[in-house]
Amino acid sequence: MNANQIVARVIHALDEHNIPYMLVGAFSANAFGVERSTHDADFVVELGDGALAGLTKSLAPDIVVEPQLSFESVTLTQRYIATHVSSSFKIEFFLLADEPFHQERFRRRLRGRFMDGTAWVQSPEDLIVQKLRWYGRVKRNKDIDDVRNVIAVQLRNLDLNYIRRWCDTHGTRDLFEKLWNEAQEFQ
Amino acid sequence: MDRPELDIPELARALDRERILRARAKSPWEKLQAGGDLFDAACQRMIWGIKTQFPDLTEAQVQAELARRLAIARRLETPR
Repeated sequence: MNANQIVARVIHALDEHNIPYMLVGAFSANAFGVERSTHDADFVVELGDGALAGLTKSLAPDIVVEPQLSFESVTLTQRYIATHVSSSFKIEFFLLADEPFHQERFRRRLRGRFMDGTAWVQSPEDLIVQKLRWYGRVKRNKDIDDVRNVIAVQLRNLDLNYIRRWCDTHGTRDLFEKLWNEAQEFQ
Repeated sequence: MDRPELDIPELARALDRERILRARAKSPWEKLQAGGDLFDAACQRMIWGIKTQFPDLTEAQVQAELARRLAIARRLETPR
């Protein structure tokens, strides 16, 4: 099973258990920016009571979900980690947080074609807002590279009012304006 | 014979522009699979490297070494 087949299998299991989700991380950065490799697929999920047990059962035995919840220091959210045993490809399930931004970005997710089915993916605006926020906290080069690439590729398609509103809230507006101005050469 | 001097920043800008234009030419849904495809391609190259470096390893040992190297790559990405 290749990496995309693993992701398609996970999406199928999430749908089967009616677990709302969206792909974030590198998969969304690839969709709206410039293609890059990744070691894992990151999902934000809205897990109801008992949903994890059903999901774990559906994915076994080739995808193993670790039963304990762990804290992720960059996103400051909780997650379950799963591993596709034969390829070591990781799947991370981040729990949807109550915070207004997380709720709004989940509502704004987009649906598109993936493999033989469809997948929910976070919007390019939300990728920019979230990664700028992380970059303010932890200076990871890949976050700022993803933001630069998504702005340059999307440029006029972006809802700037939405991005600016959340960047003002998160204190990242100056950084966004700097990257936005730099991207104008890609008009 | 004098070679013309390379304008590195200009070359970098041209390459960036090329990358961005290529990405714009594809739909988001075409590119959604790119991360997985690139992961698979990288694993194939890593397996080739492991087998070249350690030709006597069994297939299971090659997979274990691949998993170890991927874990290192993940750790290097994680901020300390």
